[in-house]
Amino acid sequence: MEALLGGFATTLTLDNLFYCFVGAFLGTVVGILPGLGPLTTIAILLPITFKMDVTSAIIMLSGIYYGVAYGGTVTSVLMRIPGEASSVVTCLDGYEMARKGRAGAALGIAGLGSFFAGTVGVIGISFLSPPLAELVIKFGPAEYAMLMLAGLTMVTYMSSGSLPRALLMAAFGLLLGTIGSDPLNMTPRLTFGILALGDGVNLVPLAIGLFGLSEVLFMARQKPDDMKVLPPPSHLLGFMPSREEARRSVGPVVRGTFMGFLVGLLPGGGAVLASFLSYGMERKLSKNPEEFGKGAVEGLAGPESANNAGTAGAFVPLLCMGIPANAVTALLLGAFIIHGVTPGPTILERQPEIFWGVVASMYIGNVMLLILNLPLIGLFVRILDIPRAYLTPMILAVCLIGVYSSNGNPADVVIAVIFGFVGYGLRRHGFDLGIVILAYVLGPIFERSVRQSLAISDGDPMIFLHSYLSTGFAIVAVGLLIAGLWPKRKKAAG
Amino acid sequence: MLRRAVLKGGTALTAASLATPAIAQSAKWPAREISLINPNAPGASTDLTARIIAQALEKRLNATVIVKNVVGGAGALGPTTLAQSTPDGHTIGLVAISSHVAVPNMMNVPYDPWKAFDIIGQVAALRYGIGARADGPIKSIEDLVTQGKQKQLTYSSNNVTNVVAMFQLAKLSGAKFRWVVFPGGVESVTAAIGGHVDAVIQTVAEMRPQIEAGKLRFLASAAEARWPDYPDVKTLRELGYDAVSNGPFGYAFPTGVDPAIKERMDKALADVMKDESVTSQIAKLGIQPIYRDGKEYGALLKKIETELVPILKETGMAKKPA
Repeated sequence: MEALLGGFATTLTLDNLFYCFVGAFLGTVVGILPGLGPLTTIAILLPITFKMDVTSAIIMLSGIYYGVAYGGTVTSVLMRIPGEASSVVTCLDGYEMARKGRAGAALGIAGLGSFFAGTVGVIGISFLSPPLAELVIKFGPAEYAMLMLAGLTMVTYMSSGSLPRALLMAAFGLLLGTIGSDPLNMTPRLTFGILALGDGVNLVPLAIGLFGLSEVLFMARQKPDDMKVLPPPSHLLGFMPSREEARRSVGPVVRGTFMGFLVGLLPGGGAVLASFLSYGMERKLSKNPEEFGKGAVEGLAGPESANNAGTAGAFVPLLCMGIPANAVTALLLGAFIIHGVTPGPTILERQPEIFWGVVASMYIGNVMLLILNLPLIGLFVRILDIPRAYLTPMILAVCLIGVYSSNGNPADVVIAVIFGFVGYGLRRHGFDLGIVILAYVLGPIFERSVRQSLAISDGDPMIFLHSYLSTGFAIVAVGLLIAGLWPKRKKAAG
Repeated sequence: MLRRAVLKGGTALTAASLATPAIAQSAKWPAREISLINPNAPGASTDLTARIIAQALEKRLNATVIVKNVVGGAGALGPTTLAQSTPDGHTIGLVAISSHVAVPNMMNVPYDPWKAFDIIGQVAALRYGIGARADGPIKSIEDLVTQGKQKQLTYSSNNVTNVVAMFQLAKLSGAKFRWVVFPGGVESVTAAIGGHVDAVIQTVAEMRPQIEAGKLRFLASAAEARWPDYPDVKTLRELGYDAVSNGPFGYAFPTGVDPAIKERMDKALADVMKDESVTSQIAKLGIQPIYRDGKEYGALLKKIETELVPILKETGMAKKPA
């Protein structure tokens, strides 16, 4: 506690508050612009920080990272463009809420939920870091394999349509995930000799194609009369959720926060997995599962909190073990090292002022983000006032620029356009695209960890039950699968 | 494609067609920003090094140097883009074992690594080491070898260039080691300290935090020399096994750049590598700053190819003959 107060003392200098603000602000902006992700931004800013004070540099760069989790929501809700991978789920119900004229409420709930999740996440970091970091190293290939299996059973929870249709989409997502280099011996698979496919289909062009571009095609086909689907925001306080919406959000926010923080601890897609798990869970728990995909507030509040808590959770293995959870935290790790800070088990002993400074800056950063974002919601929803004839081409341009700038690779633009048409076709026939992304993200991790496990055990499948953790996840996976299939049958019969 | 064909067509023709613009080129060079193509993602040690070098080159060349991460194609997209870029001196890129040996031997790429690049020089080398869980049964390389003779042991690593020393060690000692591929270096180290594999071979940057925390036992340096920060830990060679993993990287132009420009760039890079502030920043990353000129560096890569190709074949990673 004393150490944390020391951290606040470090952060609450004018300089550091300024850098914290710059980081959080840049993060929000970057989150709003799809494609120009945190990775690119931090990489570009890195050389500028070489001359800065260590703590200030790290506070600013961290600010970008968690600021993005806020900003990504805006385009998902307003334009159905996922600004980053973990906001794919937000597109599902957030956008539908916007179509019902509740854009302000959706952004408000997302903002408040994110604030709650971010704050709880930081409290988690402050008090639980060392023991949680120990838990992370218990996860070997076998544990990952079973966890991913449990994640894949979410397919049966996410779909609003029939099970065979859901499975078809899952198979499609798994197939997309196999494109690229074999995870173990690097043999190119399904690349058809195209060099650009050597690393597979990237998530950004896939998600923006399936969600953003397909929406543009939908808009293009609407009759001019139907184009007034989006009513303008009602009044200045339009971002305030109604009492009913607020009441329905509390449970999902709390559940999403705790689950998101725990799943976010795990390296490899923590925040993405967290948002999907939360969505599946809320749909299962909801009394009105049929509302999901049509603007259910629970389907927005849960995943939005989960991905922000996951973002905070990812700092635990980063700071305490030096284990990055994803590409962005890997870059942050590099930045720490350049500045002479070695994150890892020794950071608390050797450089406590940096550890606690970063933690304290995250408390302050979360408050800043809330203050920064809530008043802007009124401004953001004005985007929907723009006549469709102008808005649609703008969305198209933002999507394509975003896809290109994510990797600077022209082939990604082609891939996004192809998936725009694929997404349009699938949506016209009532398929769920969220499932495609879920299977696409989890499939490759599942494949790799299964094969690693079998390499370790020399082909003995009992390795998947070798520890309490892996056995536990295997049981959860089987349980989820049975529970997921059961009521569906009953409904089909009745 | 056409341009590549022309380049391969004959040096006489190439020289003739480029001669006139080349004179004008060298006088004006650098006429605009210089791109540095890095095939690894932002944050990778080669990327961080590239950003340090780029900043240092800017002062000496009086031009902006931008690091472009051309990531993709399992590492093939970067060198391919470099090979196909216009040789006007405004594009350089990373060349390493991946561009010259691993990638061309694992997949079909539209460039010939030994003809497509005009190497400027080597700037650094990754230093590898072998480690095992601190509270595990393996306490020395001797333990690793004896236990590896009794039953097959597993070890983690994320890249085929890292594992050369382990393959050589297995051959020289008769022990059995099985490589388990992990997607990143830190994941690979984590798997070892979690006890999921028996040992790990990675770079200093990835292993040091866990060694210092007392979770990972540092068994031996797999580099040519001991690690300066751990002068007591011997190299595999000193322990009696002629096994080394090399991890050099440097930069090159695409073939066909005006020799006058090449000479100025060579000088600038050599000068950068004499700069204490640059080398110390690179060293902070756990990477060894080493300068070799283009010729020496090319020869080193050629030597590494003879060691690595048999391993690619053994692991089934080498491409199937078309």
